[in-house]
Amino acid sequence: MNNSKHNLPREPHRPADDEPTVMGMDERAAWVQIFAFAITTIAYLAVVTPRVANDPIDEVEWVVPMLWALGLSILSVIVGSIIAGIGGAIGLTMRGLDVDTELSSDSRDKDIARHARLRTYWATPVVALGALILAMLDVDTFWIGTFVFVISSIGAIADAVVRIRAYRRGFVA
Amino acid sequence: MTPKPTRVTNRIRTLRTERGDLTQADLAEKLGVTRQTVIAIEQGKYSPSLEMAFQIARVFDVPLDDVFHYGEGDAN
Repeated sequence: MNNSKHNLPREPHRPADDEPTVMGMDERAAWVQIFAFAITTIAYLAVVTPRVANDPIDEVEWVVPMLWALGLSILSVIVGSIIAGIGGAIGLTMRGLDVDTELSSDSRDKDIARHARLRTYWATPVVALGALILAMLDVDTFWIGTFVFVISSIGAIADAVVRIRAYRRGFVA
Repeated sequence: MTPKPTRVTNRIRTLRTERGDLTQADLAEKLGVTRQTVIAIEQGKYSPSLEMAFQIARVFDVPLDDVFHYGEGDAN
């Protein structure tokens, strides 16, 4: 049987200079984070907004939708990152490139993560201060919970956007 | 073309060319980083740590300022 006619995975070869690279695992995870948090936050707001419009605010059922949104956010980041990683590994194998050396994380990934944390640090004090102010104003817990959830999601999305920008355009640590 | 985020420039590509057979993948392996990181350093999109900068200079067996330069009058 002649195996050369079949598309068997190639042995990893040494990539030539400027041979196109693939997106690393951390950048893939950043893209997944954007979509996961954006979709679940929009879905949460789509569920609770009609209730706010139709029901008295203290009767609006928001805890269960938020728990679903939180759970799905976390789950989709984990599952999405795994799927994105598997997709990248398959693509690299088809191109005959070594999966470990092309997809792994290194010091640049850590520097980019730190850079993003510094740029999006504002989210934590905004959440804390905003929640405190809302509590002092004695607003319904729906507004406090929703405020914390939405601003935290925006912070997570901003973190991912800063990371992707750093991967694409570079950054100064 | 997107402006480079850093004023640090480097001669890594030139030094690799002078060495003849040192590819980006080879350099990445010697430094323990990915090829993407070597490409980002060469393109001025990522300034490596001081430690990695010394490691790069050591690979080429040259002083640090033969590899990296900082723009004139930009010390602030």
